[in-house]
Amino acid sequence: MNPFTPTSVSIGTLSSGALFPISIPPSNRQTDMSVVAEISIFPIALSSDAQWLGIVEQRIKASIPAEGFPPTQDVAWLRPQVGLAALEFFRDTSTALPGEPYIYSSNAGDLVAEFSAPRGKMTCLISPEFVYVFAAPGNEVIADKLTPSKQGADELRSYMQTVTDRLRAANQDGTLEAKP
Amino acid sequence: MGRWKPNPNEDVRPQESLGRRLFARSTLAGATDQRPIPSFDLRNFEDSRGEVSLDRLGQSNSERLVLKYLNPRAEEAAKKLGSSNMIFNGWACIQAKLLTENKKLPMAIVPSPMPGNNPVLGEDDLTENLYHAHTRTKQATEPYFVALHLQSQFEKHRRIEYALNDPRRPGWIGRRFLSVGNSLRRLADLLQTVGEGRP
Repeated sequence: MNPFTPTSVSIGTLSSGALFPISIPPSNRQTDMSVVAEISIFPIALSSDAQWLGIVEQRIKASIPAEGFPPTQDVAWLRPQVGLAALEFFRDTSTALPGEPYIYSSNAGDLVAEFSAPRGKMTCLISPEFVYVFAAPGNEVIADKLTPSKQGADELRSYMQTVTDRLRAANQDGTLEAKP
Repeated sequence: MGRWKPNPNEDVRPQESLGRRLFARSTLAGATDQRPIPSFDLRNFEDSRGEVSLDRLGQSNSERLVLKYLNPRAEEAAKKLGSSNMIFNGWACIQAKLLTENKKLPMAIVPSPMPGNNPVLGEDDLTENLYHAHTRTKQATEPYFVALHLQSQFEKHRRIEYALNDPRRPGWIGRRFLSVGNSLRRLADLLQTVGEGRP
């Protein structure tokens, strides 16, 4: 057996929350407690997306009516442009958001994404043109209209991370209560 | 004692109980497996005009005779609002002053009773609503902000008056407990107001 055959014996987390395996060569996995395990991190196991992203993508895709099939009236559907804007938004920012969103369609046809966090709730309204962000951590109110096409993914992610941190912060000065 | 009838020429009093109608809404076609988070559905507070309709439910607490008058009107509204699965669930309730004296977005509550389409029928006409009022902001405000602000205020002081035929509606004893609970909640709101140094 190749002594460097990767064997996952434990898992850890990156700051992004993604899981990665730690491998210890079998030759070093023995009785000597002082041995320092060689650790290798497999790039293929790394992901820059939140764990929930896949399922939310599926939900959005399944909510866009197929071309040529008239949508049924007993459930709500998304306009394709709204669905695409939402997919792009979540792909760009998933690791900067508080967790898995609860999604539905607004009366105006935009996508509503609600997030729970320790200090309150955040709501994002996603349309093809803008993302409206509203959060009320403690006694403050955060409300902003963002334009992803102008701001770019990095700025958008950075903004969402700031709001998420406010929703997790224990104090008004932004001191963090805990990382998720 | 007869049903309370607000004078349309007088302002809404700070202690009045206001209700926003809640309707069951459709879920997204591909997202029926989701576990909802405890929250009022934002669609209940959306209005493209930025003015949101409210029902005046009572002089301090919600009054049963007023609810009895409004309930069939709300059910009728659910039918008119569109799809067959739109069901009237009840009202999210709040004290008027929590909207009018709000620091983030103070709103005026304007009494706007609806006379109904058929004056001969009077109160049997379900288009009539003597208890109708609507919100008005001092400056033009993004409609989504108005909806989200209202949703957060109603959630903060989470009180629900279920529709009269809703099985979740508590019985007589339960309502007495709720009434005591609401009084305690109002006391807590008052203490918080004093603590924040508001008038």
